[in-house]
Amino acid sequence: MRLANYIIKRLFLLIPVLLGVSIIVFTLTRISGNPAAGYINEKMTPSQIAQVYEKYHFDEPVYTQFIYWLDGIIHLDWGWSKTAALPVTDALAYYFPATLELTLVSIIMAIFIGIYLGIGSAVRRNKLFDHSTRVISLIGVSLPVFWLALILQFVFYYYYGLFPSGGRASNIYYLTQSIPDITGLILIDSLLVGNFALFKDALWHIVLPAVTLSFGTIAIVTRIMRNSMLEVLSLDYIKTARAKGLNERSIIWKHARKNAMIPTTTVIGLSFGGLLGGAVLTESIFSWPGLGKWSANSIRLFDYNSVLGFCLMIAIIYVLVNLVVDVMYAYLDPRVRLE
Amino acid sequence: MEGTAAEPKKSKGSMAIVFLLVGLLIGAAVGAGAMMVLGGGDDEEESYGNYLLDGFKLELFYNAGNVNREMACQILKQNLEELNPGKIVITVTGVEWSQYLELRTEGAMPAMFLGWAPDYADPDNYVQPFYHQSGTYASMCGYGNDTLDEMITDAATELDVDARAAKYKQISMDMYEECVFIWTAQATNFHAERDWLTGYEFNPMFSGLIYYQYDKPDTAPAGAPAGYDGDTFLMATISGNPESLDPAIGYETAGGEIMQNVYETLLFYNGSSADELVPVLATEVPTVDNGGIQDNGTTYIYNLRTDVKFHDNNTMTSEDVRYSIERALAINDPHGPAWMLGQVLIPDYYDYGAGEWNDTQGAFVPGVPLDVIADAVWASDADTVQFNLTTAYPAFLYAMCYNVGSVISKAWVGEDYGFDEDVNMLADDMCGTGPYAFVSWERDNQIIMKAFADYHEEPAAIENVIIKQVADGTTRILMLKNGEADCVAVPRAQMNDVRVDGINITEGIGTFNVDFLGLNQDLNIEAQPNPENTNVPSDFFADKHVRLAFAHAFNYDQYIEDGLAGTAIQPNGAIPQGMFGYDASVPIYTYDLDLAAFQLYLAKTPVEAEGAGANFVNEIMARIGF
Repeated sequence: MRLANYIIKRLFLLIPVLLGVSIIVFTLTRISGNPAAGYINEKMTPSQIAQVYEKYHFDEPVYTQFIYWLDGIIHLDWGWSKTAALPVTDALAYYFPATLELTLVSIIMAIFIGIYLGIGSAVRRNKLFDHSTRVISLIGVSLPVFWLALILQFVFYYYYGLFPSGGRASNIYYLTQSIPDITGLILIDSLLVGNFALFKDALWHIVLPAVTLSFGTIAIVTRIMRNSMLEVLSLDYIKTARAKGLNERSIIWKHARKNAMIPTTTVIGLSFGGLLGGAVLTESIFSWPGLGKWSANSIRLFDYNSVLGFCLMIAIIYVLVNLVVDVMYAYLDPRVRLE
Repeated sequence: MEGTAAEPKKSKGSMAIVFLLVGLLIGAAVGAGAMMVLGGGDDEEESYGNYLLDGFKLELFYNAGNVNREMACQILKQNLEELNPGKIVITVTGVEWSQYLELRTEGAMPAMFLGWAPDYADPDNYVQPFYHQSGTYASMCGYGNDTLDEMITDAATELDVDARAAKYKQISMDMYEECVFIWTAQATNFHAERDWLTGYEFNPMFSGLIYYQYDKPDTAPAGAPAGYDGDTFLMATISGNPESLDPAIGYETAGGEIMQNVYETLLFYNGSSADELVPVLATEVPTVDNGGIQDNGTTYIYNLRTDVKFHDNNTMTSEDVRYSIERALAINDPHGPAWMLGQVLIPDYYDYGAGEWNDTQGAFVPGVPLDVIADAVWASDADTVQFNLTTAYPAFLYAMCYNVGSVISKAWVGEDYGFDEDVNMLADDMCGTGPYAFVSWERDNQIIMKAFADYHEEPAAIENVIIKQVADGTTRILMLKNGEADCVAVPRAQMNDVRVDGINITEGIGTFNVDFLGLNQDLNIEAQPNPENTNVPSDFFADKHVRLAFAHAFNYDQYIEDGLAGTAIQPNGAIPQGMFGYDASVPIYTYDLDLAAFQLYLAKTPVEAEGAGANFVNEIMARIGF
């Protein structure tokens, strides 16, 4: 019951957070340029431009515009996304599954690989494995995503032909309209309908973008995991466990790992939120039709409704992910009290 | 008359002008110096009464990120400042797109680098917006000329082809003299596709590709990848969704490409010709001789084919044609293409607003009243449609070839023109008569079309078309080289990357897209964002000599070669090469700094100078007849 109360309390806290975010982002879209620019083209006459101002209230004070916009947000009318040719709420729902699928696969890869490498480095501290991992981590955080994406694409698509250039599935599935739409996540939907060939195909398509996206996160998770693991391994209860004669594998993977996961969980949570909103370059290079590609196009085309909707959604996701992370703390460390 | 010479040619006349100017400058300096020594000078700057010697300050703007416009501004700056270093000062400023539009709207932009692409292949679609005082760009530049307006109307309504061509030539010649706009570039095409494709034809009026033209081998040819599919055409294009797939609303090329393959118009352009029209849903092109054009060009009668089926299997009738036109005018989207029909079909067309859904009535209320539309278009019988124009307008045949003239299935659309409250069914669904039927549109990913088996001609040779958005240019090129894509959009900077075996290139054919520099003759001085960078009066560009000076100070070859990677030619006026009304004998402005200097010399500053040098020079100029 305490957990439920805590979650409800945190959800109520969403309101001031979202209000703050919306005021900041709305103001930024207004001071960074004329919001009418996205609706005006070079062929329009002055009277047509005046119509645009009137229709979208651009000729009114900023606070009045904000009230109009906020009223729409409350009534689930988030405006029209010119970039997607859809209402913003529909556009968010439309693009979210593709990004979520890519993010989930990336974060799963990052968790498994990062934790394994982090623990391995801590256990083999200052050995070859640790040094190698350090180099890999350094490369991971240093490499520009677009460069890595292009190199992976060149080598594994163009040169060796092992993976596709991009997209979520092969053309044949689109031509035969045999991609189920249950959750919007092709990997899950294909399993739900028992289409294993499609599952395999979707998995084949997601490898390169997921590797690209997860590379930086793997590096961060590895470093955090290594540090916290080293700290935990020096604690008394580990010494006690060793003194009791427990085998080293059990000490590391059962007793130390769980406690070392606490700071790592925070990083993973934040990375998850970041990946959801920051896959712009990866999605563009691998033609992945998700939120990142859409938001980048929206910014390019001055589609402020879409930009605002995107920012608001990412803010909601961040808050929710943080909530999940806090709840997980309680699971990982019973000493943490949710109040 | 293409301006392709690498170096400006200097005529003997212009060399003489140089000598004269140099002499005048020396004379002015000596005269002024002498007067100062004799006590006639003071600490104030001398004024010579012209912009060459007095100089001027001007600020040019471009929208930040547009490297071509930035380069064009820099070229002008460099060349103009060279005419009188230190006295002529041009500031080049990049502003955000929104501010760029604001400056333009406020009339605060002195010189505007812009571009124009046609809606239909007729010179009226160029001269009207540029030269008629009600036109978008003429009004933007504060230019108005009643005589010219009459000439434009006269040419637009002329029925005789030769007489019409002569009238456009006259307009072009007059406008060359007037130099209201400086025509900087007419883009040429660059098209790259796999060598196993056949059938490609370029037409500057096409929005993208017409896939019906194409064929490819059923079995994998040499160089094809393992997954080669002879039944599917994969086009990898740039990022960007159609704004709408509704032909009454869509007014851009991403949606236009889909419409031109799924919908059909009564007539369409013949192959690569933008001049010649052929019947598509009509049985023949209306002419005066065949009775299709009557009443001095104000009545158009189209006889229709009777064997045309829509993708929903309904047979096309004249009612579908009439309804399609009615629907476009009823919706009358002010940002859409309905004006092309309304301007000549509806009396006082611009008095009508947009149609919209009315919650009280629970129905769609037309923008142009239905009784007014009924007077403009009607079905004479089951396979004849008649249009009543408000004035003769030969371009009507071409305007009807734009997507707004597409014929849609009335039965499929249903009530309220396909609207249910604010939702327009036709925005993302289609039912036409074209060789390809619409299958699906996955936003930011791809659009799929499938060959229509009951097409009224031979069905399309390639069964499936996938138009895939691939944002990254390098990825698109890899897809083309790999053979996964049959054709891709190649970024201008990466053209040389696709000049390899297995890829066919078509390039150098003129599109109808023209870049131009508009010179604002009614500059809003008060609205200048950086007033210290401008000291010219608001009517600076109202002086033809100033405009001509700018025209001769622009290095067209440099702009085309360096800025546009050579993918353009220098136009000689508003009407692009390849379009009816274009005349090669109309001259182009040459890049000639001597002439530019001379024109600036002839341009008088607002207050006639009283300085000694000015009197001295002006007296000489008056004596030799300037």
